[in-house]
Amino acid sequence: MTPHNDWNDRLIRYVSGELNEAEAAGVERELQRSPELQKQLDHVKEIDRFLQLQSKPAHPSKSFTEKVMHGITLPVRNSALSPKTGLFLLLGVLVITTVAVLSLRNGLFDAMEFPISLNLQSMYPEKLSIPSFSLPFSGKWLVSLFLILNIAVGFILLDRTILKPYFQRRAEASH
Amino acid sequence: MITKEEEFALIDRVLAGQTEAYARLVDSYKSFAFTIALKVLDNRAEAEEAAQDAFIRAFHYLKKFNREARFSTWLYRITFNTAISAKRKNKMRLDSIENTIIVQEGSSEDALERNDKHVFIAQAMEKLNEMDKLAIQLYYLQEFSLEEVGEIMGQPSNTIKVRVHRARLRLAEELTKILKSEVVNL
Repeated sequence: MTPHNDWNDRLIRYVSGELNEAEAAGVERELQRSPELQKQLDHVKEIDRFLQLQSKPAHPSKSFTEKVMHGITLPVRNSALSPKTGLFLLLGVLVITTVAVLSLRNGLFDAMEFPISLNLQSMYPEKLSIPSFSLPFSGKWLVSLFLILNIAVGFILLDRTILKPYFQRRAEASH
Repeated sequence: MITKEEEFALIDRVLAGQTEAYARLVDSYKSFAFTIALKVLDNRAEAEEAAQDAFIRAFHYLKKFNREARFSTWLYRITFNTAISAKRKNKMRLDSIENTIIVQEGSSEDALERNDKHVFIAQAMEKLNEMDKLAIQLYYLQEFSLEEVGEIMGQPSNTIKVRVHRARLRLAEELTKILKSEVVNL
């Protein structure tokens, strides 16, 4: 802390009444001697004054209470997903699913079947004897897996966007 | 201002289905809730929306309010968090020094000089760490003790004490710097 800052620290405590008698008397003696320090004290007091002026509570609009009382009657939206976004995503899922099903039916991925072989022996030719692996890869399987995941996401979206809000509204209407 | 007992009686009525009783709680605390949101967001329209959201959330979670603290403190905490979330969403919005209210205090030379200083202090406020700035603003609202500011901001009162002192120190330092540079520029 610089000497200047050190004095600011002491002056803030002095203005807040946090100094003991001896410390406060020391500050007062120094203030009488130094016009520069007196200026610093004026700054500290002015900051307090500014903050106090800014501290008055602000008032909201006259319709505030009315808007809150209306807001509490509206159903709570638990999901962060808005109906518009949800429907948009659901549409996207449907399009992707349709394209994937049509591609599978037309045999677009039938030719994508080959083994993936891992020959680690070539990386360590002298030190170890590692058997080589071969994994079958099928494009059809991969797209089918993607399709299943996509349909699952579609069901979740359908539930959050259409079914849940619909049944919630029905339940509220019956109360 | 309503007492703690009155608060709890109103909450009991709301929980019993008399939702209109909630209006009394809203009327009692809307000014401070709005002020807290305004300190965070620095924009009246956004602050009003955040404060309304906070009241609506508090209403929906009223059953979970454990009555260990005052309803107002709990509500102000929700307001503070709602406003902070709104601020994060609107982070791209530029803060403006023009929003700072400078109170006119007559036209004497002394008052003019004071207003100049207040403009400089407002500039210095913008240089404060966001949480330090909020702590000092809430503390100076005079409605709240250090402990209450701590509860609203979700921080220990000692941390708030440090934040308030550090903010005052930084303001004094900045004001001295600004005034010195003003003298040099003259």
